[in-house]
Parts: sequence; C-alpha cells; structure tokens
Amino acid sequence: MELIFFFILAVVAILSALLVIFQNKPIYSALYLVLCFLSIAGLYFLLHSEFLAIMQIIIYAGAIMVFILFVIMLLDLKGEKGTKRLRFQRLFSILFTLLLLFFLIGASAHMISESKKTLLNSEMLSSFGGVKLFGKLLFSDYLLSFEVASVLLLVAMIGAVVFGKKRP
Amino acid sequence: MVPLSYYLYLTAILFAIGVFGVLIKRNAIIMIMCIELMLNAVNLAFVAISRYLNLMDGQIFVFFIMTVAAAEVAVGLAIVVALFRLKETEDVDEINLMKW
Repeated sequence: MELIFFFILAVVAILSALLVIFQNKPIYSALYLVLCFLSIAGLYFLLHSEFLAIMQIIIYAGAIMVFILFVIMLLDLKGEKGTKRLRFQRLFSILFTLLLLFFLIGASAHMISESKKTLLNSEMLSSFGGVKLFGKLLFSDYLLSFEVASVLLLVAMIGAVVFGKKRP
Repeated sequence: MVPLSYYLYLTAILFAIGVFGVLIKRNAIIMIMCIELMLNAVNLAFVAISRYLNLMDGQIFVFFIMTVAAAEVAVGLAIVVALFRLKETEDVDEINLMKW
C-alpha cells in the first residue's frame, strides 16, 4: 500500500519537475513547481515526518511560490526567445546531466549497501517525526543555529529592501 | 516499508532535473526555480535517511535548509527585479555588464 502511494507521488514529482523545465512561459513553470512541492510534501508524510510536510506546504508551496508568482506578475515577462545560445549548449547540458545522474545513482547504491544493517523496523519509530521531539531537539542541541537562522532572515529582509529601493 | 534506495534514486533524478534546468534555461526566474528544485531533492534525501537511521537530526537540517532557501529566494528575486529595472530583460545572456 505504502509502495503504491510512493510510486504515484514519485511519478507526479518527476513529471511535474520535467514540465517545469519544458514550459516556455514562467507562470506555467511556477504552477508545476507548486505541484512538485506538494508531491514532495506527500512523500514527507509517507516518511512519518508530519511537521516537515506541513512546513513544506506552508513555506515552499505557500510563501516562496506566491513570492515568485508575484514577481512574475510584476515583471511582465515575455517568455524564452531561444536565440543567442552558446554553441552546443543543449548537447553539453544533456551529457553533463546524464553523467551527474550516473554518479549520483552509483553513490547512493554504494551507500545503501554499506548502511544496510542500521535500518530499523517500523515499530521502534512511533515517536519519530513529531513536533514534540523536533522542538526539544531544536531548542536544546541546535539552539545556537536557531538564533543564527533568525539573524540570517533579518539580513535577507534588509537586503531585499535595499535591492528593491529606487536609486536616488 | 518503501526501501531507502527508491527514495535515493528519486532524489538523484530530481536533483539532475534541477541541474539540467539551470544549464539549459536562460530565464533568471526559472533558474531560481530550478535551484529550489535541487534544494528540495536534497531535503528529501535528508528526511529519508534520517527516517531510516531513526535520527531526528536530519530533520533539523531540513528545517534550516528551508530557512536558507527562503532567504535566498528573497534576495535572488530582489536582484532579478533590480536587474529588470536596469536592463528591461530577465535573460541572463544579456546581463553581461561585469563580463568585459
């Protein structure tokens, strides 16, 4: 049952990710990217990480994509013209991507065969992924990182305001 | 339970699609979207491995990656808007002010 859900979500994620690239207009790319993020959130649910799944929907599919859609609406983009490419750009992109995919899959296959014995059965994982454990870990072991992340968000906000200001 | 290898293969495919998009697209906003796709692929790998090792630390990392991605999109799109104001284009091939 879980496997069926996994395959449905994986196929939706891969197809919508491909459609992000092969759309000509940015607005359709953005909408397909929302679909891709939602299916990844479904995969988080399958992995019993409910908190991260909800965060994925709120932050990625909600906030970030609304932001990107706002910018697309503001800028009045005209879509890709497809002139002025580098020579052989498409060919080299395909070759490089296939090479990267080969290495990534090889590396993950290698990692799986090494860490096979540490996999645990699902009865031991009842409290895994809940908000309680997450918050406990976040506010004890990772407290400093949490504070630094808040400073990072402040800096990003100031930077966006500075870039968005009109030049005097 | 779905094997870990399926998740890692899915992650590899999604990451490769993101890299391909960055390489082949010349539109700055679509390139930012492809970077988001790559970050999501890495997040999925983190969550899958933390689930299979029964360690919550990977999920904390995903939380921080989401924070950094939000900051990155805010600054990146502000740069795109500023460039569009300056040059009336979002094509990265035409933005060559500092090239020569």
